[in-house]
Amino acid sequence: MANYEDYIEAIKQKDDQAFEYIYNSTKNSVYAIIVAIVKDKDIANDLMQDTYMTMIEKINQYKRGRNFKTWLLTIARNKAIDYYRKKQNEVLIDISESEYILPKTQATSERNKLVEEMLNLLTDIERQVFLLSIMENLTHREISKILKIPIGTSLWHYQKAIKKIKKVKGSDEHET
Amino acid sequence: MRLKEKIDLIKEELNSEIKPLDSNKLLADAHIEPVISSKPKYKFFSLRFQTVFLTILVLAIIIPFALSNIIKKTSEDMDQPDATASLDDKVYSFIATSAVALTYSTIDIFADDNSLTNSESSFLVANKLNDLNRYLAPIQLMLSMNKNNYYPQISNNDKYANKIVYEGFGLLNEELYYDIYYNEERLPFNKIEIEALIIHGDVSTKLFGVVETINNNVILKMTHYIDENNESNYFQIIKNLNDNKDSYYYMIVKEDQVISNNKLTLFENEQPYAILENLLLQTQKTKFTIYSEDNTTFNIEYQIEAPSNEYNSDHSEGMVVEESGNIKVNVQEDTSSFVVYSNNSSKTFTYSKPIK
Repeated sequence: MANYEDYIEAIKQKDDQAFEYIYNSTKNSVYAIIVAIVKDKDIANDLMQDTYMTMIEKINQYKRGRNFKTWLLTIARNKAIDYYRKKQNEVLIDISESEYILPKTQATSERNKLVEEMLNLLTDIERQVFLLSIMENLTHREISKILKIPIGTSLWHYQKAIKKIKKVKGSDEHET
Repeated sequence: MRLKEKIDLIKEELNSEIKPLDSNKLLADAHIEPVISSKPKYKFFSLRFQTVFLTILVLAIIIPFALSNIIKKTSEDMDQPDATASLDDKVYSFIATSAVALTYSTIDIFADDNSLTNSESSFLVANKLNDLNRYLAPIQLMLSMNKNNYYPQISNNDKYANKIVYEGFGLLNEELYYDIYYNEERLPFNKIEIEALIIHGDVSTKLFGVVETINNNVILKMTHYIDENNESNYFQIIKNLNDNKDSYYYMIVKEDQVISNNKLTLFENEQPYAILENLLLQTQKTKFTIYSEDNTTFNIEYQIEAPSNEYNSDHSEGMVVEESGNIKVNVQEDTSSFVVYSNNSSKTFTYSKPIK
């Protein structure tokens, strides 16, 4: 596990290099948890920016010795859920549309379509567990803390996700 | 394509979607909040309710934001970095799960089944055990709540905007899984209406709720109608959100008559674990102080008071203890057995009652 403590102290002084280090070592999992919930890459990028802004602004509330990444990912998840709840209060979402991990217009390449196809097979919780696990090899203990589920449940959702992904035929298999 | 290749493909595609961040601008725009002086350590519950209490005071001024603000405030409460489940999630979870428990334990009342209400014992408490029995299930749920999980999820029911999942295992190692869906609608005069649906196995329970300010207290009332076409039969769970204690009021109404009205106060990780007080009869007060011996055994002290015409130095309100004693309750899978020892009698009596 990366030791962020020195960088956190430097962020309190608005040190650019410290922020870059933390950003580069956490951005994949932060993006993964947000996009798993909001299912839109543009919104996910906006919420990612909000997440890091909140991280900087609340940095004094982070308690030394705690798991920094879990803390940051909890902020990210709350941002995504808050967004989703607000959006649902504003308009009724077309469920069929919201099932797409990416808007249809953005899903252009074959690779992109295949990724979309695989992730659309997963339930919300499976997608969150699966993406957190693969994007930065988070352990199920870490995932269970972030998602507030037992470790066994995390593992169970991960295995279900893997089974579903396995069943999807890859692009080469489509061609044959 | 092999699994590893598929996973690599997903990683590559998602990583390529991440737009670069202007870190200089972000750092320049961010206003780092000052260090907060260390707060005294409270137990989990005290801290949560302290937060709510303070929130409510703020809400008294900015009340139109009411409940949704509580959610926002707690979900971003960075002092508790693990607080993904907001306080409202916990309150909703407890009310929802105890409502489901009550749908089972009040069956006898609404089905006019009197077979459980008669007791051959001469103990006064014997007639109160049905009421106690009804609340053992919610109390057990609260006991298991510490071990279980409740967390917000994106609603997959297009009629409801919000969803909380409650899952884990009960005290008898039975699997618990509740999907709690709800909508909140803000109305004039600082009122919020809540509509909730709880799915527990094959059973769906609907709750209708309202949050309103009454005498400067913010009160949450959740009602379950036994028959949606008949508003005369229902039970209602009430929580004063200003109350620093974790207290819930349960009222059972049959044919527009209040037939049971109890206050349940829970203490997390403390003994006694819970206090159940009967509020219905002004002429006779019953209080059960509940200690949990282990997961399936409760030790309960009980006291029944009645008004006294004579001055009594121990009971300034003019009440005198009519009967007191201990009850040991052992909860089995389908029944709970009660062994009652009264201080007023050398006798004991035992009987079993179904519990859901």
